Amino acid sequence: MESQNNGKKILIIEDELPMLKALSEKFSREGFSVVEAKNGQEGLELALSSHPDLIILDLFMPVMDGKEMMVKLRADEWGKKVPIMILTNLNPDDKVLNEILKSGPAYYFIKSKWQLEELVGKVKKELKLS
Amino acid sequence: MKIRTNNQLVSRFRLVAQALASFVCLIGISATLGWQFNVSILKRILPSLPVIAPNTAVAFIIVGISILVLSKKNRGKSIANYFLWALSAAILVLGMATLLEYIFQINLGVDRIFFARQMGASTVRMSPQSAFNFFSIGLAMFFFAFPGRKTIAIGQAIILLAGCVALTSLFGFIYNIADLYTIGPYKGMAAHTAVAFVLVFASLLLSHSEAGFMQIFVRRGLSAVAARRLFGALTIVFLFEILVMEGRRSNLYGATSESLIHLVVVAGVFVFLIFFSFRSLDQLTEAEQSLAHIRDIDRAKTEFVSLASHQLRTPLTSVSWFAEMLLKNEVGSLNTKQKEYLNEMYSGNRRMIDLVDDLLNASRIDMGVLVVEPKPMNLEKVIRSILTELDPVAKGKNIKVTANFSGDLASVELDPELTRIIFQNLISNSVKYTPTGGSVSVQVERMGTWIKAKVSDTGYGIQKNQQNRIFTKMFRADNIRNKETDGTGLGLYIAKAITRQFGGKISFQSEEGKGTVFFIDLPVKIKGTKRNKT
Repeated sequence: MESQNNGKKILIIEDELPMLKALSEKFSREGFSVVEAKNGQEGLELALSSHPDLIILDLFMPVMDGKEMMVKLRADEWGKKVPIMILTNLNPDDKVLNEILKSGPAYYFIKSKWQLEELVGKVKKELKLS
Repeated sequence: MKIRTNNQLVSRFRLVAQALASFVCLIGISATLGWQFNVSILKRILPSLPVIAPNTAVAFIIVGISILVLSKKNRGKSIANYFLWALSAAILVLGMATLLEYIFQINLGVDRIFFARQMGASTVRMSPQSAFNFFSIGLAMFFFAFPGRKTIAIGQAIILLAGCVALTSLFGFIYNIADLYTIGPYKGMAAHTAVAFVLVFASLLLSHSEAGFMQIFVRRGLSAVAARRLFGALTIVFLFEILVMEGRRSNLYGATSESLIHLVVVAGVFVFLIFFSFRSLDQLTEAEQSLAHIRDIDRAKTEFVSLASHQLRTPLTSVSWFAEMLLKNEVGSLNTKQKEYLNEMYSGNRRMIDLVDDLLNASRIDMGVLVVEPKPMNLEKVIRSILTELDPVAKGKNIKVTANFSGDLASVELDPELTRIIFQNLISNSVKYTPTGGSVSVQVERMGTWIKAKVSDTGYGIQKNQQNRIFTKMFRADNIRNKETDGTGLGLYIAKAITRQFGGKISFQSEEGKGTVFFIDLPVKIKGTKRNKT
């Protein structure tokens, strides 16, 4: 299983360190190559320089939040097509957000409702690994 | 924005309407007595003015009584309405018959119904204006008698139209222009008739100020205050005009002085408006502001709950995720006791997450930010997944859970997240509040553009005296409080709010000790095609 996922790069953008750690360790153990960023600014730079296969993105972050980062990312030619899994604890009660969600392949998950195992399943399905 | 009505003012206007109607009745009665006992002053006030027709006198009594009945509070649908329709029809027919007599130069005999003996050979027929007014009043009262609000608006429009005719006659008296109160060869309206008509119109308008255009006077807020004050000022100017006119007629002053007095009156009214009204407008603004302040506090409180709950989710999720990895032996295996304890921590944490979700959903509802995003979804799949989730609890209590699905449920257009919340709450309640060995059944049916669902159980049921409160926030029934400590009292409140947001409805039947059935009706939007009901 691990060899199968090798080479697939995931960028995790999350400002809460325990969350970042849990996600990062879980996905590493599943054989993904994980890149970490602690805010939208850092995440945007890393995304554009390292071109990951999928981005896991928090919304509520310092420096640059997830919404702003997504708008900027979608302005990039490569960034238009990269799948994004928004992983947040905010409810999607936001017209702006609903617009961004339609701007490219993106999925919305409320963190507290999902187990790590299920999230790994979703990522694998998106990257056609399972 | 919803229009808020000052109900106290509506009742006060209603009282004024009743007073005016009583006065109109009195005018009618006194004129009738005038005819009965041949008292000239009761029939024509001044010797130079026309005499009141017997029909007019009687009609005023009927109209006065009708308005008294009309303005009764909370009339609703009652026998009184038929009584009112009969009276208004009588007035309408009387007015119309007299008008026909004038138009076709005929005699239908209506003028000699009352006091034929006292009239002798010379028939006194009501003036054409009076006939027109009674016709309009009859028609308006007919509409007023319906219990709805729309018909009242129609009635008010008729009254306004007829009011213009009556006011013209009144101006005729004031300015002594006979043309305005007599038409052609016919003699005009009696003075007290003109006054009585104005009172009838005012009283009809004031009797139902909560509906139609009269609402502009009884709304809460600045616009209604301005409307009332300006209307008051207009009335004052009008009354002063009469006095000033009379003064000149009695030769107290000449035409030049009269113009000056007119100017002083108008200026005085303006000063009154500026000095009294605009000051009270300020006070009202303050009151509105403090109300807005209270609303702000309430909103801030709800926002705080929302923010706090969001913040709580983050550490709760961390605990959940790390516990999950430990439980799956991802970082080395645990012994049985360790696993057991960790399982307790894990499920306690999940419960906390559910509670926070409930709080969040309730605050989203209170803040009005619950956005419904319908998408094609598989309702059967969603409900089956809820049943799978609840399976361990149901098995633990030996509760038999059955599910029945019929019709096309695989592609319905609903908000998946919110739909899940509705059914999750109802089904988990059923499992939670059903004792060991009971049963829970879920039935979902597609009927055309509606989803009809039924969730029933053989549980504790809801006490009769508490049934009207089960959808209120934080309500927990007495009979389950000591049986199940787990529960926020938010589930049904949320389920009902979401159902309502969808345009659906939720209801229930329950008997204590036997069980409860919830009925849920949800409208389904079908993308692209408009399907007829099947």
